[in-house]
Amino acid sequence: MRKMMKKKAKGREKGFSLIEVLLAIVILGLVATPILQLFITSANISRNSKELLAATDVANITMEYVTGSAFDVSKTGVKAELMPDKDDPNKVATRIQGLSGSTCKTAEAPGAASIANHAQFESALKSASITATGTQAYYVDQSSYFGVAIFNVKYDNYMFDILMSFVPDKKDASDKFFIYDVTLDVYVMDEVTVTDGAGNETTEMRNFTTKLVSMTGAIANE
Amino acid sequence: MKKRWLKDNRGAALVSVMIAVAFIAILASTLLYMAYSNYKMKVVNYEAKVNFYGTEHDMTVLSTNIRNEVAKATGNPVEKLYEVVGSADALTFDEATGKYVGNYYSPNKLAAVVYGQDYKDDVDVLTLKSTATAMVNIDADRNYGTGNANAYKVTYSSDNPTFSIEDEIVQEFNPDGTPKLDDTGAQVYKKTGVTKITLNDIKISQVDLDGKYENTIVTDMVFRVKEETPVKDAGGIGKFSVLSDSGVSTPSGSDGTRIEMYGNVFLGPEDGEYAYSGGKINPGGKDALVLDGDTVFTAYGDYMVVFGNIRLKDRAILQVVGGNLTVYGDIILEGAGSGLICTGNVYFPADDKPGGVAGEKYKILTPGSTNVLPQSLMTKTLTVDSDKYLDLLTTLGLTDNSTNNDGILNQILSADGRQKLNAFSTGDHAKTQKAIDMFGIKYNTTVWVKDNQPINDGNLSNNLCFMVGSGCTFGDAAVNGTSQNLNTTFICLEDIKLTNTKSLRFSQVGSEVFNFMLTPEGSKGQINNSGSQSYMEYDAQTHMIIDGQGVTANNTTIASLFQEGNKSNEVVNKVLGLSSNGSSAETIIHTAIGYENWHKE
Repeated sequence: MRKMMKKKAKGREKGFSLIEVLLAIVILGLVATPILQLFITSANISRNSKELLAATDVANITMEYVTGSAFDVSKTGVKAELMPDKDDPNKVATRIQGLSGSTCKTAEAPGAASIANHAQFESALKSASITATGTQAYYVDQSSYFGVAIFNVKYDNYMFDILMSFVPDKKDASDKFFIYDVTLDVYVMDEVTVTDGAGNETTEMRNFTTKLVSMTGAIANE
Repeated sequence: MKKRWLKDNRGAALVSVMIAVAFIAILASTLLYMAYSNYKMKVVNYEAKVNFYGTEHDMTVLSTNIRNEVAKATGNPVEKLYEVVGSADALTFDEATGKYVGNYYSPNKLAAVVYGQDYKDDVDVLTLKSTATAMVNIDADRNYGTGNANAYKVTYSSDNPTFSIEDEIVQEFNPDGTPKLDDTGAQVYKKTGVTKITLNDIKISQVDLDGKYENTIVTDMVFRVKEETPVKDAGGIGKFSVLSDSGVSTPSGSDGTRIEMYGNVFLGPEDGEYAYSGGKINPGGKDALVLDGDTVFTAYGDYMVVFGNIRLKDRAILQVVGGNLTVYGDIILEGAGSGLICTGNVYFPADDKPGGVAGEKYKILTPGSTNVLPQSLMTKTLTVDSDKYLDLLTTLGLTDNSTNNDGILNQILSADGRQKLNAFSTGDHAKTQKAIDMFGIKYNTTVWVKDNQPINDGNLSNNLCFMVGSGCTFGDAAVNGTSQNLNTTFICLEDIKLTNTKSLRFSQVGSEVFNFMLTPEGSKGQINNSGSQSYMEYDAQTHMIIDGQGVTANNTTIASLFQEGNKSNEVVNKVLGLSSNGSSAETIIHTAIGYENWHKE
């Protein structure tokens, strides 16, 4: 009898009961879910940091090219380096080292006459009044402002948009040397909620939506 | 008891779950921390790049604005820079360092340079914040119309920043590359001609727009300034119309002579004798160009250099078109209705007039009446310094202070080892042959070896004419119309007198084939224009006349004088370049701005 009871007692120690397993699963789920969220957050952070690094590299490469260029006294020097011409219609993007490879068409931005500074150019780009298909560049050429917007620049498996602005800074007419203040912003496409006339909201991917990197530099004529 | 406890696994599921959860939590935390750290590094990397370019921008602004101030200097750029930076203290010479040192703690000055002179009143001198519009500053929207935040500051890192000026020196080396040592064994240094100006301890702080990241560097700003007076290539002998040691004149009664010279012109004093005093040559107060008798003299060329006075008598007009006129003498508008017109600049030397009152300079004098002297005429001062005068002395062979000097002409011609022209004498066939040999004459040469040979009825087109004797006279019926003497260059040791000449055109020779004349040295001074001399006969193709007899030669080429790089051309270029101070009398100031002792703070 005692032997049988011992056997039964031993038999009762093997495995977990269903209730134990269910409780364990519930507890695990309740506690682990937020913890697992940390993994997702880590993955997002990693992805964002890679994107930031790529955007920083794009900005660095572009800024190095721009600030390292020697421009003549007239604004033509800046434009000559970046504006398209009949011999090289893709001049803008192809000039920027490491970012070439795709065909880039350059044209004057729609509504360029009403764009007089960096903020206005950015606003026009965000409002989708200026759109592009594929890699394309638009420029604004005013008397005291010159800007170039490049759409869909591929770098390290990311697609970026670049907005560069050049503002001449010469103190007076007798100055022999002067400076261009350079502003460079790098953007990524993102979803934008658009409301049509009927009040219907839709989301669409749009260029120049989220600004990742912004830098300011200067170039002086030599 | 212990065995029961070991065998009793009630609650083991919970414990296992807790252990698993703990493990997962630790893992997730570690991964999150690593991802976050990685992200922070990327952010720091980005911010570092932003601040790098921002600081570079600030330094570019600073150096460009200072460079503009120096470039505007019309005088000594070193003094201009000192004036720009400003100091309450005078520079003092530091024996130990060999530098001139002073303080420059003048925030107004530096702020004005950085932000522009127009904005200095709107700048807070301590923080360099500005409320001025259109300054170089950035707001959140990147609008360059309003300045509102001090995105960067430029100030000083020490309470007593210094400013020093010194002559830059470099170590000298022997040809074998070893350091050159003096007698005492010390290293030998030499000046580079560059003035080095150092502003010590400039501090540049750049703050990002959020105000949370500040990048500060401290650096010395170094300016290297070199003044240079360029010597332009005059183009050699082939670019001359007249190159004379003894000047040009048109006596009274010339009756409306029209003279045009296409090419450079150099005229020496009337008797070809240069004076020498105070270590410098001078024309001894003599005239080099005298125009009378309604003469209109027009020079078209880059250089017209007159080493002596220019004297314009009644209704004589001197026009210099397209180039500059340099005069080592006075320009005297002596006669009624005389005039001077120059589309370029008129240069006078900076030195006092030799033999004159202390402080008296060469200038334009107008004792005559109703003179023509446009208000737009620009008169400037040569900046040829004493070193360059010594070069000119050497070039002219005058360093021996001898009155029996060779003059410019012989210096030019003898530079390649040719015999000097005044060694020839009248009717000496042997000497003439020597001239032929010396100049490499082969064919078609016309050589005149005559005293006092007037040139009448002379079409001297395509000729290079050397006059070494008693000069030449262009007489009454000699030259008519403007078609005469095309492509003729006259190189004359003696006077060129133009009498009763209707019109005359000289233009530079560039041809390898030409005729030349040699007249022997006779008595210097006034020309003998008795009219009884026989005509100077010539034939471009065949004639050689010696003492009235003709000798035939064929196809002469005297190309060596025009060959690029020969010494004669070098002398010509040097004399003209030094005399006229180069292409202009403007000193070119080269500046280079750099940074030394750069470090982060």
